[in-house]
Amino acid sequence: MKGSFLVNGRTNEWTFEPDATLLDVLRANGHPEVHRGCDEGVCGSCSVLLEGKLVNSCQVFAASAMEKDILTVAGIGTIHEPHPIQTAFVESGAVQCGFCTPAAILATLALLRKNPNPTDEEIHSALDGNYCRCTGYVKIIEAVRLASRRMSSHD
Amino acid sequence: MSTVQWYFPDTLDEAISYLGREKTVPHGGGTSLIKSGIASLEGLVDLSRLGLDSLKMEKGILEAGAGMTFGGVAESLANLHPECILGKALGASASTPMRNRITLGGSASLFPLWSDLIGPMSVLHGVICTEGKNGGTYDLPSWLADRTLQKGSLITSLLFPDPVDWLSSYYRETRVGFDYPAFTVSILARKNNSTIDKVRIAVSGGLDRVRRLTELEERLTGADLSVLASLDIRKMASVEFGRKPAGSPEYLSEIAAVQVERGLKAVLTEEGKSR
Repeated sequence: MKGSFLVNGRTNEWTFEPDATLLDVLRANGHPEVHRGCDEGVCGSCSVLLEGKLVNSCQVFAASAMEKDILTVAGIGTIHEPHPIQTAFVESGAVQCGFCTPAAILATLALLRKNPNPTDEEIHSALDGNYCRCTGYVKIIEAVRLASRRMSSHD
Repeated sequence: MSTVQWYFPDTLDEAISYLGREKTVPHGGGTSLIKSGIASLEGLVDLSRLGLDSLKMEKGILEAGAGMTFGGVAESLANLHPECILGKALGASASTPMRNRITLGGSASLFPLWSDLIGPMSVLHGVICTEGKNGGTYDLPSWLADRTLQKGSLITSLLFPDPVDWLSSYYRETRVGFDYPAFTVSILARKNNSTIDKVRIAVSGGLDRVRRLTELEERLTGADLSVLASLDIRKMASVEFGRKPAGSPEYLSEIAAVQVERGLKAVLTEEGKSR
């Protein structure tokens, strides 16, 4: 089938199988920043924002995401102009192997958009669907706190 | 290669007409069809354009659209009625990205053994509203007893009469937060000074799927709080389980009873609250 996908502010016409997931379609069409992990909705590596909500793209039928606003990590910053959350992750040492990082950054973005000053409990809850097997989470949580402080001070 | 046909209706009538077709099922956005696979289906009806994603409280009755996600319900209730057991339960379910996809309608359609909806549905006396061939309103026992009610019909909303102003406790037995719970314990209570006015207790995940502890509820209703010390709550809270990865039937039965006792004390006494 054919459909229109609005990814990172850009409309794309893509062909896909009726049972394809959003993850399948994104990766097949030039979005390797969306990582394939468990394919079961557990690890969170494939997270994107769909209509502003954090979702596992491996658990979303591509057909049901047509014409909806999709944001991947490539849509929030570049290597030359990183988003404050990306800078905070680097400076806090929250990036090790990097496999979970795009998803963790999007989970942080979804959190800070609706709750700019989250408590630690709220941070834990917002990132509860994003596994990291390197950092032990301590550095990631520090990065979220740092991003929160920096983004609040810019408001 | 899949040959399933997707339909994107704009009205309920249109959606229901599609659902009358052979091997055609609704898709509200949740994850069950991805997990089960759609190879055996001929049609999928996308429900996202039907406007079934609202939550409203009118005349003390909470109406939640079938397209509301667990995350959406939990977030709305956390702001409006933070003590409501429905918000507590759905907000604890799965993980953030999954809560943003799992819908009330999809969950009520399946009510899996690990459901975080079924316990609150039971104690809140929730009702399932459907349109289509078997259109109507169904209480939970009627709904669970007859799976054919869903054929040619669509769940449009869940109603919860009298959902707030309860003391409440929700417990899910997991090893880590995002596990499927081995069982859940839902408790609602109202008290007047030291008298227990009403109690509702449900344990889900056992052989009965969800079981109201009616004998215990009757013994507690109208009693003084001191009954908590004299009554053998654990014995009265015994529920049968099958074998699960989380433990043997005997183990699960024992710890479910312990959690019922702890939940009651937490809800009804200061001693429990400080636990």
